[in-house]
Amino acid sequence: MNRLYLVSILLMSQGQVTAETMIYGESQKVTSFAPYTSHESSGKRISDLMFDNLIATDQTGSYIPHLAESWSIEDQGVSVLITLRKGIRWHASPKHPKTQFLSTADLAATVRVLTSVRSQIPNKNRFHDLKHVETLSPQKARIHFKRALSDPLRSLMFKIFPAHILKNAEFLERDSALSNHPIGTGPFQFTSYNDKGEVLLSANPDYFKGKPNIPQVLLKTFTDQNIMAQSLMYEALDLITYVSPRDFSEIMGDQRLGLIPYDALSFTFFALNNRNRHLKHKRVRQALGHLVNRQEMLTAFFNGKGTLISGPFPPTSWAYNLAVKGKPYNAEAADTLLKNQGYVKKDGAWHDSTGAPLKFTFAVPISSEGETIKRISLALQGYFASAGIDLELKFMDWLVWKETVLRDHEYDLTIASWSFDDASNITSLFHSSSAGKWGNNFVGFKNREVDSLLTEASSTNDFDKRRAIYRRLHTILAEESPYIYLWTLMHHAAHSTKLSNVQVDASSFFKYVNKWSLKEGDHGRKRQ
Amino acid sequence: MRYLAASATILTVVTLTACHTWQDRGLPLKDFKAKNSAYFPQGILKFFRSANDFQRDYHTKRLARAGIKLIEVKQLNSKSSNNNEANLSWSADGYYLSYESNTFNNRQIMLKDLPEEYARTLAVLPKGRDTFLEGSISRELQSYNSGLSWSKDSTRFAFMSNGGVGSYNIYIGAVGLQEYPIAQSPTKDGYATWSPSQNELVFVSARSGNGDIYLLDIESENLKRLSDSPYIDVFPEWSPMGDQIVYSSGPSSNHSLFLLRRPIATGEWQKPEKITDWPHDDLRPTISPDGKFVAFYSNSGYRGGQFYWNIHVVPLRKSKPFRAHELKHTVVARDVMVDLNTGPAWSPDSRKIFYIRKDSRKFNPICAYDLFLGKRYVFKTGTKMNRDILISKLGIMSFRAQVGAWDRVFVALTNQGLQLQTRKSASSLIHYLNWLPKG
Repeated sequence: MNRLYLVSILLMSQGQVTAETMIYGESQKVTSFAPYTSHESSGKRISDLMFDNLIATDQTGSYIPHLAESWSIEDQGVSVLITLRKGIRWHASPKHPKTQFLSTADLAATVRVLTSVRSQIPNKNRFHDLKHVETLSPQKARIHFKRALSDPLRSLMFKIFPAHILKNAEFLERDSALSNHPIGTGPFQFTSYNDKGEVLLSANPDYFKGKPNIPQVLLKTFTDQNIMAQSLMYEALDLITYVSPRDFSEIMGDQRLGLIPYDALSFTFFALNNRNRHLKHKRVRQALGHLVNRQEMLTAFFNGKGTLISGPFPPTSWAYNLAVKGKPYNAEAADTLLKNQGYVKKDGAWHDSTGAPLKFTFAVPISSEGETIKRISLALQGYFASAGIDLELKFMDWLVWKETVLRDHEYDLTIASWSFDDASNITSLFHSSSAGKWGNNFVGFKNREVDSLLTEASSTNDFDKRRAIYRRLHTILAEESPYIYLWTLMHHAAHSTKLSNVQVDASSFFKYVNKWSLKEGDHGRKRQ
Repeated sequence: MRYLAASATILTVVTLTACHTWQDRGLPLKDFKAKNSAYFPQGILKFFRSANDFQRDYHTKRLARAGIKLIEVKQLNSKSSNNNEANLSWSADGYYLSYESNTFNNRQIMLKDLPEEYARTLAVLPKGRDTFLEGSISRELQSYNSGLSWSKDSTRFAFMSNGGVGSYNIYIGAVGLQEYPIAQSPTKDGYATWSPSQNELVFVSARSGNGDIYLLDIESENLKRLSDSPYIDVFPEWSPMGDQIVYSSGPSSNHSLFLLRRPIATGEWQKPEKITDWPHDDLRPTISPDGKFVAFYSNSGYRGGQFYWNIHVVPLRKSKPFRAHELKHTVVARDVMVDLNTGPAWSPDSRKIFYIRKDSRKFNPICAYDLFLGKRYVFKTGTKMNRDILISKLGIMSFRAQVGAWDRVFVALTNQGLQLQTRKSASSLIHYLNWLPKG
């Protein structure tokens, strides 16, 4: 059972939820309020409401001041001199009523816990380059990195924690003081939580960008996504952060609701184990790619809400090479490739030169989202069967799948998605040095030119050069086909038109919440 | 993001294609009675080729009704198409079937009968599409039509449509007549269900704030609000006598079942009574055809750090809510697929629950549980990723399953029709309910 580790739970009393409360729905309970410690996207989103980043980006992706008022990059990216804004107040709480102001002590404490190996932070690699903070004054500090970075500001887009809550903590835990007392500087401050998974926040009157227009925010957790969508449609909610493909058309058809697309920040692929005696041949891998009707699957399973990809990046990435086209669904092209590789088709089934039938196993991970994965796997089995290739589906629990695929490499094909903060970081996915147990290159792809290009791209601070290298990599990786690249999905949030100025950010959902407004409907509300 | 509606008055027209008129068909099954070696009406014999063999092989009603027999499974539409089919509904007499199909532009309702003599496509469209503006980008609204519910005499139906103009209302229709909206409001109306005893509709409307239960007399168009909770009240379901309605309501992850009663003596609806009260989410109740029991989904299962969904069955009549110490004994199926379109499916004799087991290795098979015997059945339908199961009065099981990448409607002939089975339901016959207090 997912548990929220809260020592002091403040129960919500009825009547606190007013018509001026924005109520939004999530399908996962928040299990930790401390930023970065939550496994769920719901936890990440609510931390966007309560905590602020040191540095932010604008809609063009350019860096802009946030808690950091200004900065200067030093020593070719080895360190950055930061000046914090003055007068930023930490949220007050009954336990911490005294006004506390943001200072470099908070920055130092934050970097200390983010870089600790003992901190319980999923995907803590994102903080790998941070070294330590040298405090120069209450507002000035120098942040040191472990190496020269071509884009050091990207590594400074993290949330700042209060030193007076962390105290001397060396690392961050899910059951930490910060999770018990989620005190930030963000537009909303924690008010209460109850055992139904509801979290009530109130507007921060001292927010440095001005008090939010919406007085209160209430998070409600649903066990079923469809009920959540129905609650929005029948006006019990003002916003849902994710619309499932099943509910999309019904919501789309309601003029009282708005839909907002945002990038899923991931791409999905069929992984081909290059160690397999058939799949080690490029032409076999290419042939399998031609047998998959990717557009049909995208339409059938996701209402077409996504984009087919031809390489390991989303099309919006600077690294994406638009000149590289994806493999079309083309059974004849697959036949030709298999014949050229020495395979023979007998009685409708492909055989290798020894007369053995061409057959594979497909490791299907079962998780909470397993129904769609199952449906995709079943469709793939059908595509292969119609071409004369046997595909045996092997279902396995998530932990077994990880051991079988990532550790033991005992599979032929599987399905997976890579999430990314920085779409260009594909070194570990395809470099031969990452092909060992638990390595990200679990398909065992080995190519000297790719290794060389990945190494070269990592070592250069010249962005134009890096982009040129990555576009070359895209071309090679499409041709070599270590994966069958599928799609990157477009997610959607939906909201009542009572909410206005709604804008979301893919990597920081509530980034613009300060500008949102909520107007009262035509009738009195009586909801809770 | 805001959408601005054009100010033009919107008139609705209906697009339809019909092969026959409804009036021609009358009520073909109203008086059908099974006798030895003749268990199905002509239309079904024509549609299911194995039905004749079954009648021959099981030549007495006693033989034919024993156990649960799956006689033939068939895909409803043999033609391939690139759209998903879903959300099935049988007419009260079990002769007509509706389902929904997504096309690129619309979600439409398909009506047909099994002998394939009648077919119709139902989608309400505006007279001249209006454009909704999002800044300078036009937003083409699709016509979304869903949730068809048949009248008690199987001649009329109600469904939800946005009319192609983005405003969800309930529409009443019948073949040969133009559909018309009823009880319109600027907020959403949906989940319309036709009373099995009168021309009344119960539905959910957001007109009073956040989804309450409303009752509409179709002839007089009198509207009455039946529930008033601070939560969304959904999935209203009639009892077969039309004197009770169950629905789900409650906090976001802790819905309970509620019961509305209309005693014959007063004819007035009483305040809702809570049926279930425990810390789990109880959703999509369905009442047994004899009106004595209610089945529902609940996330009462827990394994390996995750909750999973079970089906529970409890008696419908009870003076106080069932609580955890009672409800934990009423599970009839564990780890099931939740189908909020249909809910748990009752056999016409009120004795069995049909459901989809969540079993990856068997691609979610169709199962049944006999409440009297405590016996479980798993069906070899030859289909995969099954959903939305229902059983008609004549014993035809309908469901959707994945074919290639798409969901398709299947129908399966069983021996569970009321023409073969008889109702003998009582709490005392349900093996696990003997300990419950009577009442």
